Amino acid sequence: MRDSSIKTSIEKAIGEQPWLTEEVLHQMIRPHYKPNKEKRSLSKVLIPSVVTFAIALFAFILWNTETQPVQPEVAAFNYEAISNAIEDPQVENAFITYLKSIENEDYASFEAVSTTDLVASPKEVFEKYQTIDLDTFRLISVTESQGEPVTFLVAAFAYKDASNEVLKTYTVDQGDGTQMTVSEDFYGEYPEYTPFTFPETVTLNYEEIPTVQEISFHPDLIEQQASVGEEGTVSIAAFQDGEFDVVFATDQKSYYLTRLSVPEVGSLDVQPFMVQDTGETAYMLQAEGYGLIGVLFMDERIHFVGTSPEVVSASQFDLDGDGTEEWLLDDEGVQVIRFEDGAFQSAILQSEIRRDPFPDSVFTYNLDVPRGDVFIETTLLEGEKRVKYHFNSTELLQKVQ
Amino acid sequence: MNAQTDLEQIIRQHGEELLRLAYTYVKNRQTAEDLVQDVFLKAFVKQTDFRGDSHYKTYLYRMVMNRCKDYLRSWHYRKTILMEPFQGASSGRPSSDLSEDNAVLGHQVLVLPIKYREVLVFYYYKELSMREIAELLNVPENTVKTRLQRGRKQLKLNLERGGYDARFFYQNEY
Repeated sequence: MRDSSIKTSIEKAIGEQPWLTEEVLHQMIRPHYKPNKEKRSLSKVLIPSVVTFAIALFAFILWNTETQPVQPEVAAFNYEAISNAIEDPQVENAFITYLKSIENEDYASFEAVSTTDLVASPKEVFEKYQTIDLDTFRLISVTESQGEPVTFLVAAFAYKDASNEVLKTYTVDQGDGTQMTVSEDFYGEYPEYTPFTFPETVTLNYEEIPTVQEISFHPDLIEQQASVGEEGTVSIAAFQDGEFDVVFATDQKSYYLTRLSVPEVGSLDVQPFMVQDTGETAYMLQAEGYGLIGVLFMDERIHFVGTSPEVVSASQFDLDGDGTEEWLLDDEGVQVIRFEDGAFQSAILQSEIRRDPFPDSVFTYNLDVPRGDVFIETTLLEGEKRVKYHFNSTELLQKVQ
Repeated sequence: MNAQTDLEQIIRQHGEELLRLAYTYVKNRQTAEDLVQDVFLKAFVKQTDFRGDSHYKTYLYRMVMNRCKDYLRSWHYRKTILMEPFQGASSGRPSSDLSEDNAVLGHQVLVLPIKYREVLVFYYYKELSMREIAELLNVPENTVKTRLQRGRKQLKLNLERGGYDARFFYQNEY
């Protein structure tokens, strides 16, 4: 038997008075209402025009067919490339079936493999794909969910009337194990996709800083270093100054300077990943035997690098299938790095919480905060005193004495 | 019967519960009204070519759920919510009053992570079966059961941390 007190309590929290008042009802209808009369009168004008145009067009096609063969270029999905991008044959089969049913406007096949029809009719889906330039459609990310038998596919494509590309997410769900189903984010506001190439490995080149200890960056300096980027997209340099500073340049105009405490001469492994929700490309920087040393966002505004130069203590927390958090304690304080589906999501550095004393208990839980942010509660010992901290991924919210 | 009457009839029939359902996701009344209005218009426009097998009410549930999740994923929401004052689950004083505890319980349901909140809302508030919830969320039935268990566990934990009476969980196991 179900607990009716929970139902009652939700009613209390939401409000027991009716919401759908006459005023709300009419607000919902009025702004979008178009009388049928208008449609009818418009149809009287439009239909004869459309019929006339269609006849003329048909006559032109017949004439054109006789005079020269028509060789239409029909855009289609690149199934070979899509197949190559997906490792799991079952996922591949389901997704290819899904796309073919859309391309062929095959209702039966679509409904057999799709669950998108729960939010949009097949006709609506088919019509939407007619506006897409299928030649541009390609998969750029295939991620298996760690918690459930679900695979997320992210595709990039352009609409026929637009030059920019957008990202769209598809979900292939194994369900009860008998059949894969595919759904897509139909009503989403798709983020724009701006591909950015970054070398897989960049080598740090050291140079003594001649006089001043404080680095002042000059654009010419980058030219003196070994540029590892192609087409002037990225260069990296390092300077020996107790620590090593690394300069990144995304193009000839924008430069980023950051200080990474890289322990010794070596190379940085660079792992590109896509930030969920935004589709932004970012990079995890790692040195051999050193773990994560930085995360780099390369868009115009955001540049964030988190460092964990001397990790004294590390803890990892599983957020109930929502992802993991890694807590690293070093001289700088506590750094919390959040991952979802293995991809970096966010990082914070809480300098107020020092490494000594170490936390005697730490636990996290996720409250109702936006995706990517986590409400964290930690209890630390400050001397003999236990102090509770609350913070999320961006700031310390409160210190509870 | 004209289009306006048709639309009005659909809204009268389903509006109240869809508004409340949307609120459990977005927790803002005006936003809930906007999103539900959007769903009604989309549902109304395509009702003639709707070919899904699911019941129309379930279909509307699904649309509201997806529309709300789209909204919660949007940057607009994320920026808005970050500017609002934070209210932790443990805020407020403990109470021995059962009716007050009841109100707190409802509030605590609404601050759970969405994946747990929605199964609790559909199971207890909308009184759907596990099977129906599984179909609605497009996840296996066992996943629903797991989320329900974890949601209850999280709810209990949050209540206990806040010093509230968590007796519901000892008395009522589903």
